[in-house]
Amino acid sequence: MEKEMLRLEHISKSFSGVRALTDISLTFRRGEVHALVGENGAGKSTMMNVIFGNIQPTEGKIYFSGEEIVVGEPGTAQKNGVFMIHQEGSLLDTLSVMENIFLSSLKKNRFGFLDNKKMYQETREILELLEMGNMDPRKKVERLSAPERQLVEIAKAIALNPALVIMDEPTASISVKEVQILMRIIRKLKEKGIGVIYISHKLEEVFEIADVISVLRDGTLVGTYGKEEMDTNRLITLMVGRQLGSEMEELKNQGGEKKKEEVILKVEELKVPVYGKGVSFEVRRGEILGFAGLVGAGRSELFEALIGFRKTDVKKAVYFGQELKVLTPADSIAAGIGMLSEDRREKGIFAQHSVSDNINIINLKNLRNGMLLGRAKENNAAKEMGTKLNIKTFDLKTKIRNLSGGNQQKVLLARFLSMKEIPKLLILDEPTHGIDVGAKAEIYRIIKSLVERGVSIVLISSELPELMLLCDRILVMHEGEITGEVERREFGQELIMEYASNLKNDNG
Amino acid sequence: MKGKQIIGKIREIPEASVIAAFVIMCVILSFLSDVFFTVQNFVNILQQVSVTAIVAIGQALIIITGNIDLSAGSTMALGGVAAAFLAKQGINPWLAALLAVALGCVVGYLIGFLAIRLQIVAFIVTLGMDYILRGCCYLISDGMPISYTNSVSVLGSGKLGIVPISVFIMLFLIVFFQVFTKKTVTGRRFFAVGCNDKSARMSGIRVDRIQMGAYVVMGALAAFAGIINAGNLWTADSVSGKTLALDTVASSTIGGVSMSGGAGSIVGVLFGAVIIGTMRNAFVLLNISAYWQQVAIGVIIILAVGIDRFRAK
Repeated sequence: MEKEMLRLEHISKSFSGVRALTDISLTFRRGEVHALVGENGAGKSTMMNVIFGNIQPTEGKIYFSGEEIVVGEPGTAQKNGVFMIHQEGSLLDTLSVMENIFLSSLKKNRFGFLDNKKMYQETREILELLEMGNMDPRKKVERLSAPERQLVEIAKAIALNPALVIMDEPTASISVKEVQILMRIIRKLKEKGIGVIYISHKLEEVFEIADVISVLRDGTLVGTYGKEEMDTNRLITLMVGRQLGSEMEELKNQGGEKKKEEVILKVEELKVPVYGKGVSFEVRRGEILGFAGLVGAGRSELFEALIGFRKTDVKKAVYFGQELKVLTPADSIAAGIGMLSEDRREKGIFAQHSVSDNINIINLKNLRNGMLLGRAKENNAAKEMGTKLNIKTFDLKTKIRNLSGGNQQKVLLARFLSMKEIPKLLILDEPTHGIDVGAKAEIYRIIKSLVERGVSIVLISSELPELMLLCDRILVMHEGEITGEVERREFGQELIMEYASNLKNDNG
Repeated sequence: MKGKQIIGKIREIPEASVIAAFVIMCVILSFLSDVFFTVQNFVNILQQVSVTAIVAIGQALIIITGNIDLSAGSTMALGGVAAAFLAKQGINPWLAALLAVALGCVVGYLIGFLAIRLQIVAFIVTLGMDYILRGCCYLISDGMPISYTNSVSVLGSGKLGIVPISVFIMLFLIVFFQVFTKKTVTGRRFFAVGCNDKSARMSGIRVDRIQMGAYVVMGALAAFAGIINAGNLWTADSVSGKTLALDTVASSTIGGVSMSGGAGSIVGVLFGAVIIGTMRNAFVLLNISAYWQQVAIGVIIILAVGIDRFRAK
């Protein structure tokens, strides 16, 4: 019944002696959602590159619809109807939605000019299918929100009449609401007989949508399983090769026994940029305060304004009994408030600089001998943090852009943790965005250990399970307003989602 | 094994490629000309590049922080003209020189204010300032060269033994700024800002101050270079330094400063300037047409950046 679309047979690949893929055999079928899971570096992207002919495998064969093809030839996969939906950035900002969608196959009329009418019509149809009927195909891509862009990326692949669509972390930059839309879209694709390869770190999504799940670890295929025979704990254990599930359980049980009373930060009527609405809240000593909400609820903007990264008005902010006056992040760091942005690449790392320089940038003043920086002091400080946070890198002179997301995030945490006096309040915006399960658990442990040292954490996250695992209480935002507060004992996905989508609002 | 280690160590020196290029040039030119490899000739080259190299320090600082200054030549001319004009009015020539440098700082601050605070693209601001400042030179001097023969002129025309004072000044500034950029907290921040200004802000760096600071330092260095230049020629001319801005960008580039900001070294910039100077010198010694000089310098700029690009891969 299910027709074979793409088959890999005994694919192996070594890079100068290092095995990236070992004897992988997999079959992808039409009308089937095949999830591919594994930690970063497990070989998922190498495998995709082999499928698309960008990498020549050392051994093995590839069949499209039962016919063997020449491996290692770019373009072959596309010719056979296999398309990849990119995580981000394949859209051209200054062009319209429809021009982007038909970029590789612009429609021409009989005079050789662009047939805008036809493209407009077809774009409408595709958008309709994707539940985006009210988006104007002529709208410039630069004016779309991040989730809308993601959906346009999908539209772009669908316009090509695919037989097999590969989605690599499609939900990385979209929120729960759009995830639901995406799930419906995938089901529609399935009905039309299109196969889907779904690569994701988010296991709940995998369980929701996948028919079969293949697990990769260290370049080998651990196995392919039907969804029925799998549960989260077992899947995680297969992915990381050890019992991580129970470690997570432990974290859960540690949370929220002690009462946290002392208020360290009280914010009154802070105008959230873009929305211009006033927001008031308190942060207590040693607590993990979650901020939930849909993408675009104004959570990042709120805290970027609080630390002085964005301009805003605030009626009053009291921090440890003193009025908090902040013009730039330099002021807030001096006051003992640190923030890690959700956008590591844009507002976090110095991509071309070394791991060591990235760790030390805030703490440079303490690494001097007299007036001048001491190289030994710099190296030691970086080494110490590298060991403490288990930062995996070849050496500390490596450029940070060569590190995995999880290790980059640890470097960014190290910046604040290496300070002589570490911040009393750390704001972590999507700290596990695009990070694999193993590194995630490490970051959770770091957060927990900070709280034990009396640091207060504000955790902004779009992953509810993460918030419910770690937080003492959760504030929920909707369009620049705090709509509700949920205590740990009341935690529940539905309640939080009601606040987040403004079905329920405690503030009117 | 040992040799490999040494090569490895050398490759870690960021200025390695520009220094290697310079050495190769010297070896080839030594065979082609008897006069080239003499102390006197090297002193000549250094003297000829001193003004460019001093201004190139400022240019490199600005490029490292992610901006550019196309008005450097006019600022340099203005420094010379202002110092000469004030001295001619009877002000103590040293005080006049100091005022001219202060004027350079003001110019730098103004550029910084427009480009950084008001966020007008630096390329355009400095392009506009180039015209404005050049116009100011003509307005002050009424378009005529002003003679500059006073005790300050020694900076441009004096010598200690056979080495011109301007060369000592240049070397001192190169060392000073090399140490500043590599070994001080503020210097490091220049690189962080140029690499990623948003990350820098999130790390508590006052990005505005760093970027504006670079323009102010440039203003001071350019005006000072203008005084040296006027001293060397015994006259301050409004038309001087017409190609200086681009020469300093070229020196920075050849010296390994990344045009996208965040990487480079001041010692590298010195070698960048010296390579251009050596080319000019060689063409004179070898009696080759000056037109070819231009072509060759252009080729070197592209090669320098091209080689680094391939090395990075």
